[in-house]
Amino acid sequence: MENSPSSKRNAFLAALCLLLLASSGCDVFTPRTPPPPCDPLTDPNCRTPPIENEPLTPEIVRDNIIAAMEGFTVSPNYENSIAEELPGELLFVYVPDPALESVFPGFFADWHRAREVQFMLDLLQSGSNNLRTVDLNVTTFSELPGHFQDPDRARYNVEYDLLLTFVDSSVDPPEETSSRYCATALWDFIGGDRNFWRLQRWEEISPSSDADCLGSMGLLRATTGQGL
Amino acid sequence: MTHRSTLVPVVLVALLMVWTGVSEAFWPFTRGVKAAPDSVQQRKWGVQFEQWKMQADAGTLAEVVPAAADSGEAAAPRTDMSEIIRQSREAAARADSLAAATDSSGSIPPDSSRTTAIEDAKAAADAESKALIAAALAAAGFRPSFDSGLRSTNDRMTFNSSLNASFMDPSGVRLTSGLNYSDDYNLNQGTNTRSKGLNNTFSLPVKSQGLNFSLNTSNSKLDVLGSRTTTNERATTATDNRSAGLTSTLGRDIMRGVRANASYRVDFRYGNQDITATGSSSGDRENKTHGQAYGAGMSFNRLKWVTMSGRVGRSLDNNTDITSSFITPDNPGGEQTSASRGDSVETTVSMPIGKYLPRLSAVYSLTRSKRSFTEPGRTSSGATGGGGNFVLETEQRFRRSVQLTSTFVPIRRLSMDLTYEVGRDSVGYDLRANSFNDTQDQRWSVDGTFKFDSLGTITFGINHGRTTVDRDEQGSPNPQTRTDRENRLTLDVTQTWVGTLKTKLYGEIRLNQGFYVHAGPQGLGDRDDLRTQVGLDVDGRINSKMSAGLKSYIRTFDQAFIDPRRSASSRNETEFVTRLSFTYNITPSFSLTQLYGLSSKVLDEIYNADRNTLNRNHFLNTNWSYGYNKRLSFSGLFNYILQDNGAFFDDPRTVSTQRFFSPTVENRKNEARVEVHYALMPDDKLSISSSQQVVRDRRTSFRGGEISSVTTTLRSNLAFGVASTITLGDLKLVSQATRNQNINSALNRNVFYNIDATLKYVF
Repeated sequence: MENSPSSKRNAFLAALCLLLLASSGCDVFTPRTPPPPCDPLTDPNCRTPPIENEPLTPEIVRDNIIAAMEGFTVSPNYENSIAEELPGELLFVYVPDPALESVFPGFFADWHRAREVQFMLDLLQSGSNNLRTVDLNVTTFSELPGHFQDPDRARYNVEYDLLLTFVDSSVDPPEETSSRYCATALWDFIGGDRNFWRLQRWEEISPSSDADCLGSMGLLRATTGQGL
Repeated sequence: MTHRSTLVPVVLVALLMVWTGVSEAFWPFTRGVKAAPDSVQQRKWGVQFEQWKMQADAGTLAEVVPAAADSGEAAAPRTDMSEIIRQSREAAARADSLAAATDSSGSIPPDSSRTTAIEDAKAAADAESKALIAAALAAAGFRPSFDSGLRSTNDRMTFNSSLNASFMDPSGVRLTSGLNYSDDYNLNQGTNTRSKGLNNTFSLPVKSQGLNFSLNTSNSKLDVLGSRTTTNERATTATDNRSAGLTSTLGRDIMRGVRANASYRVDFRYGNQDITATGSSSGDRENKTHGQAYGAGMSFNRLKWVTMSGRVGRSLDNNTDITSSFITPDNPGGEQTSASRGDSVETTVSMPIGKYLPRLSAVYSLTRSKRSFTEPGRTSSGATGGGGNFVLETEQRFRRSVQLTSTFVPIRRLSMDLTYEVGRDSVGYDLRANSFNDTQDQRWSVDGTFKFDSLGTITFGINHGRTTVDRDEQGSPNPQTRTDRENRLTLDVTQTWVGTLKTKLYGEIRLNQGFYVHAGPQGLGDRDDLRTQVGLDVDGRINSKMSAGLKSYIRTFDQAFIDPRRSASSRNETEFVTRLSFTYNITPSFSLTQLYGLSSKVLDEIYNADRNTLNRNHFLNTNWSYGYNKRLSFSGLFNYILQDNGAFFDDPRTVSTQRFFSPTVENRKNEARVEVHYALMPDDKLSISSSQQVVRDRRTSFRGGEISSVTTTLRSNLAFGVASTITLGDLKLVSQATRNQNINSALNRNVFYNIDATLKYVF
């Protein structure tokens, strides 16, 4: 006896429902439970992540970025400060200073959020570059009012100074070196309509003329890790 | 005879596989090797696999579309012929999709009928392709054209122009030439970037033999003036690139159902860059490359139950790099030579197995390369040492993958696409630290469609992926070394109830997990992300003038950090969204569109309930347009949004589950805009337009539940512009100039102009 189309259809629907039930019943979609946070008072190795404040203003985003870098916390703090990507649209843009663009032609052409996050991971969490401390100072952070007609976006004039300290423990005594990256930049933020600001565009204007400065952070981006 | 002709491609594919294995045995991938600088500089690799792939692809296309065989086509200006090639390829793709659609719909159950339908579809596409080529040949001749554009905003001005010419005779001989120039002033960075280029391509087909020869040359110069250096000087960077290449391709049937193609390319590339500054930041580098690439492939499609194809390619480059950074007492000229090599293999086997598996194919591909380039040198700590000092860096990359795909049709109304992929991608650099990456990826998916009646469809997808990322370089533990897992399940039910009402109910659950091997400064990076979403979309037409839609969904996003040093960041996020849209064409010339939205998002910190937050918003967007007559039209919008954010805490006085909202900040935005457009001359040959926009943003801050401050920002813009669209035969000029005047409380007044102009002329 041949099965009718309706019985086949019912059989398929039943199988699909069973599949869904089976999927929901097993551990395939059950996440692990996060353990209670460690206590710095009782655990000397405890180094809790910096508190990420709700990004109600661009100033809070700036502070979150600083805290994330100095606290070596890319995920979630730095990640959450960068504009999210929409389907088919890469929202975060990085524009290097033109001198650097000439040295690395095309390297920054498709710099997007994933590359930005990977750069920070390679810088802060590679584990083998002997990086010990990060000190980021944003010495100027002033809005350019009226640059965007839409209050959902805002542009800020920024001067930053990043000091990286490395300690090479393989030599005796341990050798300490440092690198400074300083520049003026324009930071564009997005999210004013929802009071949920994120950094959407980072355009380097020029590296600082300070003799100790190696250049803008574009130089660091181009030469850290894989850069992809 | 049949067995012998079947044997040829099978042996070919087997040989390719064996060759791949031999190649791998003799050229093992080195795991994050950091060779000594001297030995590294003696070995430099530069590979362009895509180049030979393009040539191999072109081999089959060359005999009907000679220009496509030219690998320099990408650099040449877009011409009618390139469009023809694109359309021709689309026609072939449409044939495939049509065939697939015929299979999955189940409308043609018998195998013979389905095969006939597929063949008919391919024949139709083939005829369409030939018609397109015939049209291109009919358009043969000398076709010069000129394009230019000017764009100016308040902080940037760009100008670009290009002069292109192409000549093609009916036999397919083709000559194209393009000259371009661009100028870019960036007022933020204070720089001027100028570029100019000349590209030439000549192709000569010998159709009777399936041969095609092409010669391409290019010369481009890029000057960046005024860029600031670390010593606050202004620098000029001049870059000069030149190349010339000769390519020959062959594609022909060597016996019934067996087709072979081959390509060979020889080229010369030259690049020079000078960085000139008044201080110490100057630098220079020069590169000369003599390259050759060759490849060969074969396809077999004689049998109905199987088609096979395979190809193999190799690229060899000899490089010379010259930079003052390389100057030593033993090398006063600062010159270094190196060689490059690259290999690539790809094999494809496709076979339909009866009516239940109408499509089954396997693709195996392998590429490996070594590529060298100069980049700024670094200090011993890994930091860079400025822009003027260059070193030679070498990248090694090795990719291999196998993909199995199939279409499974168990019953008439059900079709499922099954995919299994496994691949490995390894990359390492000789000098750059923390760059080693060896990724092994394995994933499978089932995507199905079930038509439960003529107006309803269920689509579902089940995906699983497992990726192992090894970042341990030379045994040095890297905290990014991990295994990622992903499981995903989706289900959509779409139903058309009556001709004017359609609903879609959808759901998704996805779990991403990361299992890390080494602890970093913040412990192990283990993290689980669980995303779920359930939604309903409704689209309906109320009557001939009105339509409405509803989009509503609930989304959750739970993040769990597994290491106790990170787990304080764990949080659960829940979002509720409802949006309504409404379109009303009141008269043929007056239309109104409205969009309403309501959403709220709850963010619960798992181990810090005091930081739980709630943010809510609702908005209304209204757009209208009115055409008084053909020349005069009006349009406008009114947008309103109210957003508030605050703490969302449990009632400390009771044990109930009721939660309270304490606002932190509230934003209220109103925006209104009115635009008038008047065509002084018909068809917008000359028109004027005016736009007035006002945005009022009121922000209220709270402290302890009480208002602490209120700030109101008023932005307005008055724009008046003139636009013109002139078409005189083959000349088209589109230009627009707009004067903007901003009036806001912070700047008082800010006037700037926007100018856009484009000119296109086909001689």
